[in-house]
Amino acid sequence: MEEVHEGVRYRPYKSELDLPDIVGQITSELSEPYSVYTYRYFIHNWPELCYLAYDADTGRCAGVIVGKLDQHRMGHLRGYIAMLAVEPAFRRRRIGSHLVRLALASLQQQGCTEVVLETEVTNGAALNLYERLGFIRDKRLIRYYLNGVDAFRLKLWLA
Amino acid sequence: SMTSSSNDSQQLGQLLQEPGSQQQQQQQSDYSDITEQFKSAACHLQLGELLQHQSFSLYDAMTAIEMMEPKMDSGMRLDREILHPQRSAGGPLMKLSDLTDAELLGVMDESLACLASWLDGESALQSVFINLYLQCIDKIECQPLRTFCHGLLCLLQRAKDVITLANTTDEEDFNPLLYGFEAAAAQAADDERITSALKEADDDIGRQVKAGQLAAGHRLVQHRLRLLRSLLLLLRQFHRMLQAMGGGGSADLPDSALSVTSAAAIDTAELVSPAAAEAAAEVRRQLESASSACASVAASLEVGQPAAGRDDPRLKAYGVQGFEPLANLRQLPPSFPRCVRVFERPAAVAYLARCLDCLRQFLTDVTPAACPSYQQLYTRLALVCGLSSDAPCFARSCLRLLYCCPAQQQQLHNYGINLGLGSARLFGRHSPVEFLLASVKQFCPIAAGADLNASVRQLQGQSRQLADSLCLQLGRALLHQVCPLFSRNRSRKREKLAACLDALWPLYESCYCLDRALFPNDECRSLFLPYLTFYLFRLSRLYLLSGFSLQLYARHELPSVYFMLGDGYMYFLLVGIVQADLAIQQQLQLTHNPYTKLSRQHHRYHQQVQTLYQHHLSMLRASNYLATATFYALAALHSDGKMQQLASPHQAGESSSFKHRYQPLLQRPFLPRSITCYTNLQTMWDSRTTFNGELDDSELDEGQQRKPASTPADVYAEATREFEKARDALVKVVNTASSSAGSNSKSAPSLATVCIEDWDGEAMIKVAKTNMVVTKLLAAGHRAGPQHPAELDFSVCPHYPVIKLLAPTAASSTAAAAAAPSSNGK
Repeated sequence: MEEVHEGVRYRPYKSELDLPDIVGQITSELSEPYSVYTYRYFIHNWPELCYLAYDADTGRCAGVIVGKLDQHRMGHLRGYIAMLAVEPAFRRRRIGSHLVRLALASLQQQGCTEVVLETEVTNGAALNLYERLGFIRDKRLIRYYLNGVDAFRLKLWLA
Repeated sequence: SMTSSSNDSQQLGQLLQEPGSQQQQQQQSDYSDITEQFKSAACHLQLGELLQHQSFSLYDAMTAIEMMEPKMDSGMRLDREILHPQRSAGGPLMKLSDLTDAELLGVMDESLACLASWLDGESALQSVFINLYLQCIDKIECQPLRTFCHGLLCLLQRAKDVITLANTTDEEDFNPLLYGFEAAAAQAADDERITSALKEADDDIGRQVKAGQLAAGHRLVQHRLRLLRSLLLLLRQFHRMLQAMGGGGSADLPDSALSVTSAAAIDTAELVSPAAAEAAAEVRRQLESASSACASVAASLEVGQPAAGRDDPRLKAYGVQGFEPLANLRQLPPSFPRCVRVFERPAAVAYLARCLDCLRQFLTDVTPAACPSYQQLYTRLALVCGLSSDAPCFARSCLRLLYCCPAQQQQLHNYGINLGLGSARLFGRHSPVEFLLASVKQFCPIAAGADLNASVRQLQGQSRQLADSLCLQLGRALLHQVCPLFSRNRSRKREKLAACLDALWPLYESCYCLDRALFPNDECRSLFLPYLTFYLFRLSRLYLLSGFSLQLYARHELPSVYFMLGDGYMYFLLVGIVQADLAIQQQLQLTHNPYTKLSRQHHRYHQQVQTLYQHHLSMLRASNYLATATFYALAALHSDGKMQQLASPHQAGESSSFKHRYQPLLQRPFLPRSITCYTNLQTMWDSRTTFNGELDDSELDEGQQRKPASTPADVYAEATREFEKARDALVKVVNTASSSAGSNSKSAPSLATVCIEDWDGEAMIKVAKTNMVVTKLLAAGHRAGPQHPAELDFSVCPHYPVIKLLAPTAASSTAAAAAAPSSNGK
């Protein structure tokens, strides 16, 4: 369902026609490369965890989030935020936080008990965003990314 | 279908192919264009309809490569003609003979830089094997270069064998794959022949320079050959030392066996055999040669041809004869291009020198003089473990093999095959049970008595079974899990610490039962329980502190960290050990008869050993005080509005985060359960940040309850008192160690050598003193309020911050005026 919040329209993924916006946002903002298979793997299996944000005035795509949910080897349901990107021109408006909240609500509704993601240790903005939502830095992954940078695995436990 | 691509792509493709292969490929393949058929079939699919096979996993999706996408297709990096090991050999960029001094030294120095990068975790294909000479050694006519390349391949194989055998590295530390170059490396396996060849080449150069046939600059080539040769000899001697340690018939002994005939002789058991000590001395001699050669190389790095093309993509060549970073792209499995950083030459040589320094330090202990018996082992092990945290992975692997050497000769014979170190023995010969019994006796000699093993064996029935089972489990946990964890990188070490705690905590109750079985008539006497508690304390503390170096703690989590390090959690463990210590002290007094010489001697010995243990305990207690003081200081800073970042941004999920953050420590016998711990934390925090007078701290222990503060100044005053207590305890500890270092006591190890991991007494004293002054000023009302913000400075001590008052700013003044008084929040 769609909602408008502070001049930004949020809606879940609808169809293949959304893919150019999603790919465009992720490719331009994130350093790691993803093939079209990766996008389709996430979005077609978990469309309810993919949200897009559009500027309510101009209709321009402002941000996107992609995630998944499956059973952890310990038996509980674990959510994963695979990609989150916000267009630079639309930053500092809490669009990223809102996208994450939408994804978390959807995960919680499906019985998810914990959510994880990885982010670069140097990505201060992402760390602030997720820590404000209650994520903690669970592990440090040495040389995780292709560019040799370490990553933090962030984790949030849902009630 | 292979549709025709642009001319540029065709040319690039040709660069990658062998001569004649394209034509050959065309003859074998029959291509037909099916684009129209594909489009026709696809038009029957609905928009968004996807065909996905069940077996298509996330891994398959993530590793799929879109061809010609620069971020994914390594081949797109080919924007110039690249060197080829066969085609380019003999050409102007890959000379096989008549290399100048600068060119030859450039090849050798760049090879050493690649070797260091490989040891540091880079892929061999994108580091060592970008030297194309390694792929056509037999064609090289320049003798020093040919011999150098053989030596390099041999060194590669030997170093890989050591690291693989130790099994202490993870994928991010070291990549052992040789990507099809195993055959080349195996050809160079005969290190005796190669070291002889290196010596011969070295001597030849010397003769020719002396005879005037070669320029004097060629002497620098000799340094490189000597470095390679000394490293190979070092590894050969290291292997022989391991064989000497692992021999002596200990291979077939079970984990419960003792290496001595009489258990009472454990105290004086020779830990290191004369053969192993002699081999270790030989290793140290080679270490000195290697270090000396390293220093010579480091002093002449500017002579070799620089790798100008490494950092400047505009240049068309790497800049060093025979080097081509893009040559091996076809050997790589299809994967995304990974950023590879080859060390700068000075950094590479410094890396190798550091490996040698670490090894020298570790080896210093493997002598009968330094480590004659278990009496010295305990402190030596702690010292070495403390030093190993930042060592390069090669040095950490050597450390692991040194202390936990495989007893099985077969493992050493299969040098290079990782068979696991389940049968690891201390110095290759001492079983886990022997290690445990000796260590327990060193910890509490007065409680252990003269022959602990005999005491254990005298137990009957279920008690005996309990004793045997516990000794085996605890011994294995200590030797196979606790000791090796110091050879891990920092991030994995934290995970292994949690695993160690999981392995040791279940033994808690068994230790209590065994103590009662050993000392049925003395309720206060205990041995195994305080010993285990001591290890649990240290490991828990290490687990908490490891979060600082890994930068895992957000600002708002710091109060909970110091709460756990201080009175909130560690206090309970400390109490158990202190009570056991008091019992020991009482027993010491009871057994001391000042009128007999023997009794006086025993008393002095036991006092010295007890002093050692108490010194260790004092260090832990002092750090406990400092943690508690820091907690109070943070509470004061928050209540005063100086540090808003300490407020938790997500209070609703805070207890869940707390429970999971400290999960390896909580839910343990006799310790506060996680919900109780969190409640205590909240109550202690609220009692120092809430000033409405309605404090309810009835759930706290009596020692933690306090009269509610009425202002932040009261909390600052409390923090000042705690910092003063911490300072006094720390100064006492440091002074005791200093005076012991200056004493001539030979019989007991010096207190200065007692090393507790992540401990820096001087830095902690500085933190305590500074913070004591700052909190005292703040308690007096100086710079009170949020208009004078504060910051935490971890540069002096990485675990305990110095409080720094910042200059007031207009923003903070405005914010202070507008802000409501702070209340809840951690």
